[in-house]
Amino acid sequence: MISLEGYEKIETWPAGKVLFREGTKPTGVYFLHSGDVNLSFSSKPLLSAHAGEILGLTSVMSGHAHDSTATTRSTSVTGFVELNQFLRLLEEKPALWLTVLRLISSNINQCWDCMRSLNAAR
Amino acid sequence: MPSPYNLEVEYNCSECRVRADRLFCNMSIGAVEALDTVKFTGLYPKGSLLFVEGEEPRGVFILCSGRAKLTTSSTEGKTLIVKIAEAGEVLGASATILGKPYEVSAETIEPSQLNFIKRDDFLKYLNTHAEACLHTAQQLSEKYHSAQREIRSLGLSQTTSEKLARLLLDWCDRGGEQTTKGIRLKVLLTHEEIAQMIGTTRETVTRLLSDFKKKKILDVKGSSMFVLSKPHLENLVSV
Repeated sequence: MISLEGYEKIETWPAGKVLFREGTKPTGVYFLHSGDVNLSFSSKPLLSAHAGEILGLTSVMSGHAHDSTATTRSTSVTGFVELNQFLRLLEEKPALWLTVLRLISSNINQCWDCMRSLNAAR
Repeated sequence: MPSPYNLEVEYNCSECRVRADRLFCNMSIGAVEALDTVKFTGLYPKGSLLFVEGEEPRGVFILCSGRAKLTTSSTEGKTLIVKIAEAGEVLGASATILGKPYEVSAETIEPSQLNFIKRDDFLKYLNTHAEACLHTAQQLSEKYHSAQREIRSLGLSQTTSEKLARLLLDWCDRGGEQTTKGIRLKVLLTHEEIAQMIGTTRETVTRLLSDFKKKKILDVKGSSMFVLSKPHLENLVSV
């Protein structure tokens, strides 16, 4: 596990806290250390994130606005890393790249699972 | 001598004239030259199956020219097109990185040039070129956003006409060409394939397109579709 000490701002949130909203520009990423987060599209929760994932990662990488609203489903601990700090972190710790690529790949797989379920339910 | 499938073939990535326009390939010359040493160039006719859902990952395909459809099937056997991949995209990267079976199948829908990189070579390449990691992450993030758009359409649309309207609006925004007649979409998909993109039947797509034509929302000329009234499509989309 790569140490994020000095980069992240650790915070504990109750259930129901909105971390970021759909349509807003990313200001950084949230390392989800514990808890679960719902990702909602127009208020409908269709995806979820769990401990170990990085929220807002794909928006930071692509430069797109957030596609979904992230709301804590249970008490959650996050480590927020501001956008430029995160890019610096990747430069200083290139070993983090593999984690980043694996997480985005897993997120894509989760999307495709969700699409399969929605298609089966039609 | 004519090239196979009338494709303009580029065997050296470092000499590729469109490299700068491509999200993944737009890397420094050093990184691109390294890519040249691990890739195998192949030319494929329309309908070539590149990899199949459930197959162990062999590596990634860089789509240099042409287009490919990515499909998945539900346990009930319903096929869904999750994405139409365009030139410049990397196919099979998530499975290759995770070392898990391909989650989707990839099939060319036009004659295409693809550069294949074996899994071990691709992972080694990523390990030695942080720049390639960045470009792969950007490429995967685009794929993630595209998948989220599809989820939004499948999960939030109330009616099939809304799903079709969302798809047409998406095509308008990405690759639609403004003409005096309307927004021109180059549609190389059959009604069956459009149906597989929005989770419905071919008959429904044919009926809806005919309905849209009657309402003067769109017109079809050969393989081109013209959106005559974008606001009308936007009104069909509820959220």
